Amino acid sequence: MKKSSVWLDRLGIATLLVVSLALYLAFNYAPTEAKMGSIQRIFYFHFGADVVGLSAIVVAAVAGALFLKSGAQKWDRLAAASMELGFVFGAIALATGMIWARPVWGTWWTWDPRLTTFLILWLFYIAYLMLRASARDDPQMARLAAVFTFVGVADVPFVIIAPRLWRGISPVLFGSGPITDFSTAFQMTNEMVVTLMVSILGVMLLYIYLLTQRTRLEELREEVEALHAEAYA
Amino acid sequence: MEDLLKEILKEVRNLSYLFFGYAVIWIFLFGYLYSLSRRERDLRNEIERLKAERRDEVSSKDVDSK
Repeated sequence: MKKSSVWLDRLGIATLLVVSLALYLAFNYAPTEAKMGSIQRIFYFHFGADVVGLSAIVVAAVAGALFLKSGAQKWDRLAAASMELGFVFGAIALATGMIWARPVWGTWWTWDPRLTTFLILWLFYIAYLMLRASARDDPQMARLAAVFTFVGVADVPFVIIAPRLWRGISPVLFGSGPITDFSTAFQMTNEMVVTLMVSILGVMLLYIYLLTQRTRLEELREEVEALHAEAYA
Repeated sequence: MEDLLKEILKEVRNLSYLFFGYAVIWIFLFGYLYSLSRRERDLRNEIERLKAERRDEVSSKDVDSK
């Protein structure tokens, strides 16, 4: 068995264990939030998906910069894989956020600064995937896509500071922010913080595992393209 | 009594949203995993097919040259 395959199997098992532990903690260890009730338990995985949704474009932008600098295809593959995962985890964050908002805020969607800036980021993921799909074989496309990630990553700080910078209704989880209305925000107990940290770790491990698998898929696609080129040469 | 009933109804509603939320997470994740495995299978089949074509081409050229 190849060394990389053993490493990937171990990562898969570790991911499964941490995600299972996070689920156990979310349902059995963390107390029920006083104001929101049980629906708050969705927040642990929602926040994890949110963190990955933000990290994926940062990873893609760093990989894009390394690709532009070195021209090595591996960085382009990593950027493409990370952007696809950003789209998936961003969709999870948006969907679970809407489901959480319905009973808590009484609406599925509101143009709150954080929600709006996150939606813009998610639209960047879609635009990137459409860009890649439109001209896959064009060598200039990879360079253009790398530059595109730099534009998208500029939105990340705004998503993070949006609830502090502008008055919105999204809860500020850590530190003191301008939001003090606890009908929408919530103060976390130690058990909640532990559960949240384990959930973030679990979702991050899942992202790394899927990123490795998705990058491998990109390698296979390039192998197919090379074989096609050979066949028609 | 009425307040208790309201609390119970609120919690039932919350639990149904919670179920719906986690169902969405699993549907997205398993859907993506399925899509990954299907794409990988298709690419591996394509590689096998192209390699087999190449082998056939090479062997037919060998026969012709003999």
